[in-house]
Amino acid sequence: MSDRKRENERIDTQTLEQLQLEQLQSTINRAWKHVPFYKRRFQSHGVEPAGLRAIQDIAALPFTTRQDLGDDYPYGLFAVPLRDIVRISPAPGTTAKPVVVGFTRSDLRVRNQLTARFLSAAGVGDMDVVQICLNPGLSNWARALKEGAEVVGASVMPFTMMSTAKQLMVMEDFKTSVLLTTPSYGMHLLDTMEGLGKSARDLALKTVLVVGESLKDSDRNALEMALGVKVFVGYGPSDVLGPAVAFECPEKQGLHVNEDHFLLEIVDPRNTTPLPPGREGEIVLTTLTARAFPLIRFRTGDVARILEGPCACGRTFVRISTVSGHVGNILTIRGVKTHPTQIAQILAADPKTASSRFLIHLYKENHLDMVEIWLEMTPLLFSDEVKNIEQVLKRLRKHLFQRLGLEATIRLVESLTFDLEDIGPGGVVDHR
Amino acid sequence: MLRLKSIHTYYGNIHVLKGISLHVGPGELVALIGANGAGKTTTLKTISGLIRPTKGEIDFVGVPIRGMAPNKIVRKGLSHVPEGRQVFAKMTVWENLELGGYLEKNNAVVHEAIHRVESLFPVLKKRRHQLAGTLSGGEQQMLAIGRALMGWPKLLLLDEPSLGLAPIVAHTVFQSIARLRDEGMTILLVEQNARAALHISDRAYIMETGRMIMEGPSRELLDHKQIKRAYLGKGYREVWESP
Repeated sequence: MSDRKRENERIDTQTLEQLQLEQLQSTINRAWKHVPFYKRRFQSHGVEPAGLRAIQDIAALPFTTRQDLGDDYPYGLFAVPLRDIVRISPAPGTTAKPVVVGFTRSDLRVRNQLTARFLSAAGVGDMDVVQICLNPGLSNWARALKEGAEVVGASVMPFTMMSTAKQLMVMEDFKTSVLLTTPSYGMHLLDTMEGLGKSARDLALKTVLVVGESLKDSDRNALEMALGVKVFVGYGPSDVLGPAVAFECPEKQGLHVNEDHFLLEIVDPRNTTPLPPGREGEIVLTTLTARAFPLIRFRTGDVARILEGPCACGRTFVRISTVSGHVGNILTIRGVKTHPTQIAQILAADPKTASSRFLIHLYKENHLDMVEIWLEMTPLLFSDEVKNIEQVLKRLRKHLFQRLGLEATIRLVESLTFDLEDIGPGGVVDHR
Repeated sequence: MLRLKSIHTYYGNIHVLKGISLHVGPGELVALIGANGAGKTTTLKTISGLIRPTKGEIDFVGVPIRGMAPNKIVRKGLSHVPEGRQVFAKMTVWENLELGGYLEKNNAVVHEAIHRVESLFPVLKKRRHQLAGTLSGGEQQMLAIGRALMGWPKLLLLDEPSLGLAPIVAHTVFQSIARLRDEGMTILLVEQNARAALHISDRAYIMETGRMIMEGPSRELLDHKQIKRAYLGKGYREVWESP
């Protein structure tokens, strides 16, 4: 990372505003010119790029939603020709279509620098052994974090499918000093250690970086106490953008948003009016330097608030609270974002379950998010041979995993259940 | 040092600059690149006060200069070298340089400045007593820049210094611009020769039909394929791309 990139973190407000205005104007000019979706959207809102005279004028621009990303699938939102794209990164997304983001070489470089910023703020350097444990639904992030850790010069163990016991063995034998994971996996790791009779003394861990889910204070304390580590949080919407849109500094007083690459707004999710600092609302992000996949006023669905006042660390980037929840029906399951309609679509697509009603039950087991789908037994699904039914369930589980990255169990229930529940069919019961 | 915010400029009814923002920090060499008619020269003329913008802000060394008369802006330490090497052909190199020092009343100071310019551009020292009209294109360009440097401005605006020069001559002009930056001069350089400009500059802005479409460190823009295709030669291909 060049010195200039580091300097940016302490940029003065006036210079930052100038930089953001320049970047915003050119992002909008590029989007208008190269992405028909944005031009159409701007025109239908009666806005024109030349009208944007200050950063605050962004409030006049239309929002972009996950639905829009799905509607213009596959290449609709790319702002550069395919020959300029060096990576195409798909994620299951929260609509019927996957979310696919393209990166140019410079986009990847920027993303890696930002990830490196997150890691360096947590004190990760070239003397560290970094182990990445994220579930497969977050494999885009696993890659981004791996590349960022390589930028800071650490020795990186990329994400590998292994049992928790083997992850622990590697962690112990290779003296892993930094663990990159989700809060729930971190807690799960603690349980596994307890079961194996291991303690922090057996490990060389000094830092745990968590991404993907909001971190409860109790979980942070538990991890810090039990492992004798410092915990740092990184934030980014998991399906688009990297894991390091915002990061925690050693002061642990909120997350600094990388304002030299993203413009942050907090809006009221009900009527999309901008909210002042301190008020909780939906995080809306605009990319300022993305070349291949510009996002303008992207509604992340994540809820947080802006923390006022300067940070003792000296970084001048604005701070947000850790994400406290989500807007609408988006579910975050082990860091992976899913919408209930995606599950509905998979069930509806199967001839045997097309007419079955269902409920989604979420709960924790060993600190890990678990999904249980309560599926209505209908004459269509019924068979006098259990193996026939079992086959259907197996097929559904496979589709849920392949398309959404969800490992779900399916419980068959009778129709009466749906009349007894408070919540309508297709609804979510969250016991977490 | 210099900040433009959402500048709009018209020629009559023609909307030439459609919301231009840019900044130049102290000691920076910033390039402004774009095709013919993109509005690069208009941007420079707007900064130096030759054209009045209809909207937007211009700050120079912390002072708003939008709408200020060009001569006042020059006194604030902003020097503009227009395109086309406008030297006084019938005067000697020395006299041309002396004219550049018109703001300074003390002759000794002027001579001191001439010596400084001559040490930057040694060829001017060799040609000191020649008429400017007899200089080669590249030498005339250096003289034009040298004249603008006489008051040792805080910011130098250079408009197409390589225009009409043979490639090898243009190369020496670019070298002297880079040397000037190394001496601590802050420069905003407008160029059609995108490759050379990106090679010597710290940061760059890409303009298209009166709008900025990209900005960033020059090194990164040099590597950008869209820019390579658009500005670094027609039909530009990487070695691994089939023709």
